[in-house]
Amino acid sequence: MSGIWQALVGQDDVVADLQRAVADAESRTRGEPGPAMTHAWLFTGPPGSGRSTAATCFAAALVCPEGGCGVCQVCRTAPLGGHPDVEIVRPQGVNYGVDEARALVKTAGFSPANSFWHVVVVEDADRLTDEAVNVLLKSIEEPPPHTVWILCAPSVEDVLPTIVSRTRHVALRTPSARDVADLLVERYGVDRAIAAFAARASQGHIGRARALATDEHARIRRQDVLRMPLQLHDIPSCFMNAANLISAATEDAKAITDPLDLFEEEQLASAYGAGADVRIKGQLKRSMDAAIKDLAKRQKTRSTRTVRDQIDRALVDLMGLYRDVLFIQFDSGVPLINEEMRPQLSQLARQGGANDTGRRLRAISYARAQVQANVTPLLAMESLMVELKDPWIRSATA
Amino acid sequence: MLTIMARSSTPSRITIAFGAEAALVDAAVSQTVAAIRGQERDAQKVTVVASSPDGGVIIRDAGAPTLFGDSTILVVTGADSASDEVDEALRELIAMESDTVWLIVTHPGVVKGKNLMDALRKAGAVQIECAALKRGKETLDYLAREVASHKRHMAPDALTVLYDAIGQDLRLLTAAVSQLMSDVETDPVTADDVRSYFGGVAEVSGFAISDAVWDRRSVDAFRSLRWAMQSSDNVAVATVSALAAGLRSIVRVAGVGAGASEQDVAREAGVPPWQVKTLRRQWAGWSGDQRRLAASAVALADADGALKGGVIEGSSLDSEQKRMALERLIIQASGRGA
Repeated sequence: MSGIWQALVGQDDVVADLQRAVADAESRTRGEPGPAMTHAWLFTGPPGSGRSTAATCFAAALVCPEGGCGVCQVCRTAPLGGHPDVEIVRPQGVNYGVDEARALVKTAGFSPANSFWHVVVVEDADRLTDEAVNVLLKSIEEPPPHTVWILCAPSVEDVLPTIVSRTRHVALRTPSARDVADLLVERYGVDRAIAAFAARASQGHIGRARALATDEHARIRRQDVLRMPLQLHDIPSCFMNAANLISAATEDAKAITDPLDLFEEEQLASAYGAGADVRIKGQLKRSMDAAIKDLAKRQKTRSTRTVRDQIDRALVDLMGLYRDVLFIQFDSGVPLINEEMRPQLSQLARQGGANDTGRRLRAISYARAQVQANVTPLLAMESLMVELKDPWIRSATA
Repeated sequence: MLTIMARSSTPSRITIAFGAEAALVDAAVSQTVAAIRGQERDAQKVTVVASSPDGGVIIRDAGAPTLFGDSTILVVTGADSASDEVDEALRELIAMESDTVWLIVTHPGVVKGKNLMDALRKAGAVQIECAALKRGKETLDYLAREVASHKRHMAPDALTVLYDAIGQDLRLLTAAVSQLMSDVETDPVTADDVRSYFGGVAEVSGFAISDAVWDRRSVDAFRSLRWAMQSSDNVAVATVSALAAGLRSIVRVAGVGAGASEQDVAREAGVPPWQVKTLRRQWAGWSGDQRRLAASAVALADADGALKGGVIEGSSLDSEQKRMALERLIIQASGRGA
């Protein structure tokens, strides 16, 4: 693999398809037919499989004069949103609404500035509200001649069928642990053993694997979560673990969003010319106050979303743990995600049957849905911990 | 209903409902209208918001002589913020001394618009006081008049109990009096009668419901919930969150261990020291029934999801279903046995 496509791990088939599309896109610029290229794409793949990377690389390759050389100015700036003809939309709030979608349709219609194509990448298209999707439909179906839409989502089921039928589908698969480990060793110079652990523990989530391989704090957090199932003795301990999980998630989310918040606030203040020794007054002050309020609102939804993402990550780790327990109970010989915890996992496996573990897994996936559905996170975790301790507790609620 | 006017009184051509207590203003207007219709059955009622820009036109139309001399009841609301047109049209109207127009003006009793009010008073307006009642004796006197208007009696301590239970909301107080009058057949109505109807209403907040639930007082919990839901539509989610907070405090205190002093427990569990005793008592009440308490935590999260639009798509509830979900939750949480 060469050029800009190096960024993709374990996706050889997808890369081949996209390279064909880039070649055909090139033919189209000369007015020749190019069946492998089209104007609307849907990139799907589980979180961390690199679907956004694939989408932005494809976008860069389309606007790169060399078709994705990976070294020119265009290839280096476009994936970061630094090229005028590549627009990268990252819905940062809990979801993406009609007003934003209308504005997007307008900018999507602009003619390209420096190349033949104007590419719009929507990361997390699953966060678009149904109303916002309906606003985009028309433009996705029949965009202006030079516009290309690339939508990203975890799976086809996460977007409306009306979108699916109007786009060409590119499915990324979860990269194998070996591929991820190789990447960690080659690109980040991680020790082979740690790379192997991180690749297994992340279950193919590349960004998560990198964090686990390079950041000790992330490893400790994960350990804390995985120890929780062994600490659920009574109601107080369930509640305490729930509280710990939430406070860790909130703290980690703050570490992500606080610097962003501060940066945005400073940018806004300097845009209005405000500073330590400058007082803004009158009309300008009112306008700045409105902008600050608006910013605060967006920051709030971003922070909510980030906390939820952190909780979800912890829950995915817990699911991995009970998956291992289930495989031990079945004595299936399948490699464990948490091989290094085998003694503790065996202990958990002996404490119940496979049907208990199945119910616990279901409880975790239900708790994930609850957090997404805006159930108070702490409450959802308390409920989950209680259910992990006693998977048949729901029979007492009838 | 609120009694503002003596039943026999004849309405004046011009009436001012003067004061900020909305319940009294509404009653003053509706009773004046009723009294006017008692004299002129077919009088048409026209309502004008004083601040509206086209209010002046409507008032002039209403004041214009009609072919058959029909009467018009002209209600002008919020005269403190009357537009210039309305102000002018009203002055013209009173200068006409029309005998087909009945004018009712409401004014919140502030300084603004005083000039216009004085002009109306000079023209012979009758003023009905609708100022907010002061807390205490004034409100109690009002309640006593309310009772008298039903031609019934209530013991003074019964009035106090009712007032304590419901608070300053005149609408609720009036409704409560009329409910007592129709439901309690013995006379005079006693303090015990009042308690059996309205006991525990005053502190209807999520926390009252929570306390009742975790004390396993299901009946009180139900009564509080019904009251809370009657006074506001949006208490469902707040109730769940109060219940969750209540349960959390109990469990935290339980987690600290029985030997520790109240101060230590409070600090470690993050609850106010004066609550520790109650929380310990509540925990003790569940000692033989831990599984049910644990199940409550699950039920709470489920209810929270159901009330916030459903965890699974297409499972959102209407308001009646929400009430049922909460009641089920309370049965589950506060009941005994499996």
